[in-house]
Amino acid sequence: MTQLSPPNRKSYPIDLAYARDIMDGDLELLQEIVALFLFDCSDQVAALQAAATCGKGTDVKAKAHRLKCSLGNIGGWQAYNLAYEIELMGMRNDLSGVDECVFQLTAAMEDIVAFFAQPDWANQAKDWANFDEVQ
Amino acid sequence: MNQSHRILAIDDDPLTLHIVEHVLQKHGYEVFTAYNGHDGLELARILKPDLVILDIMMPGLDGFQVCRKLRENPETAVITVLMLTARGAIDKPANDPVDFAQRVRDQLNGYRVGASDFLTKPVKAAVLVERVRSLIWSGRN
Repeated sequence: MTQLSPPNRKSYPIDLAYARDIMDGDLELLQEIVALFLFDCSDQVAALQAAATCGKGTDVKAKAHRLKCSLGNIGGWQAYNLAYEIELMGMRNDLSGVDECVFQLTAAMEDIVAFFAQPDWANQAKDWANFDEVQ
Repeated sequence: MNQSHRILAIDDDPLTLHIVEHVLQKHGYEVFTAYNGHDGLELARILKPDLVILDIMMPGLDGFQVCRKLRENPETAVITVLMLTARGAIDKPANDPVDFAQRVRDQLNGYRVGASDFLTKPVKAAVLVERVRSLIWSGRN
């Protein structure tokens, strides 16, 4: 009997299992949310970069918070945690190190966009669902 | 049974609104949405929903101001309010003192202006549905 190996979740920039729990297991809804996310994620990153360049803590906090919220809905935890770190810097009004953090966040966002650019990402989501069901 | 229950969700994040709307509709609720506090207050006055799901951090009127205005208006004063917050980070302890203090302040402010409960975004669908069911049941009894 062949036992299928689960996909290596750690190599994914997205926690699809978590995203499916948020979407009530509805893959069609997940696809709609991903489309909405992709529609304005580059604008959100650009707004955060601009706020960091201006050096205004309240703006950095607001932009990072908004991005963190979007990332949480799709389970993009690496980028989510970076957005949270940047939000905290804004809250403390201490932006030392923010440029490096924004750089890392931008890279993490690029990984997410590349993941969703794969034509079969939704099928991978289905595989995850099957894996979850037999556990 | 849920079809008679109206829910108004107010949030400036289109992803969250879309998820809340879709998930709750699937569970039989009639869901209306507003992207800002002003529109939300107007819809609440017209619709008299059983529950308002209200984001805290919004441009313009924030969730606390919206909740206070709901309570001040006799037409909307008794509507149950569930506040949603993306403050902090999901599944992470608030070990940053500034963040922790802000979270506590948010909850106190929320209860002071008349919120019934809080959820942290992102919210798993099952948790949202059960919390909504519980709050609507409480509001009816």
